[in-house]
Amino acid sequence: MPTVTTRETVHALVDRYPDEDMPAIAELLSYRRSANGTDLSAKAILARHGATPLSAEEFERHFGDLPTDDEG
Amino acid sequence: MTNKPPDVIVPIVFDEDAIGTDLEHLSDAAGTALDQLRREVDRDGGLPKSRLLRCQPEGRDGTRLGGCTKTRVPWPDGPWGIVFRAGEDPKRPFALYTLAYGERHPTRAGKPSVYEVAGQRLEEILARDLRGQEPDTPAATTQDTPEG
Repeated sequence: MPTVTTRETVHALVDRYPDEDMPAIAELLSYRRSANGTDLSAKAILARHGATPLSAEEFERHFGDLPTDDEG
Repeated sequence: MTNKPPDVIVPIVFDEDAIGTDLEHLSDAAGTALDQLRREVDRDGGLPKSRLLRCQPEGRDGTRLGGCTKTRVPWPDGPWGIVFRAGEDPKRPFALYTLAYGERHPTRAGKPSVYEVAGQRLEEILARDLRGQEPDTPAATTQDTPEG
């Protein structure tokens, strides 16, 4: 039985979309990884700068009093 | 006469890879607005806390941005926004790291908002959701050569 790798799965999934959807899909994928392959995940962004996520308690202490709005 | 307490300045760290990628999808005006903000951050050593808002753990737009803050560009009601991830910084107690820069309310259909881009970067969506799945119609050439 042939092995179907995750990469082949992704290729096959993308191939299901019509050509007119390709620009939007390319844009969507580019938000997670730049053209030169740099990981743009939050985890990678913090790691690039030698940082670690603030704990929930620390976040509340520093930013718990900030106002919110109805978006995001 | 009221004595208003001085505004707290929050350190900001710009991730050039993320910001650079986001600018590729934005107008020149968005780049100009960001440049202005960056000059202010450089001048002041960060962003006044009064220009920050807290993101929602479960937003009405479906995004889940707990642990994040945001600002509007230009302040106070510009069309663009930055979402920040709070982190323990190696040089100081904490800082805000730019997670995404983009349109708050995209005008083009299908274009993600800055909040949606930030949400995609927070979640390990691609790796988790597709792992182990097989396509209904396999790729044209399937071989027994698993990738490394």
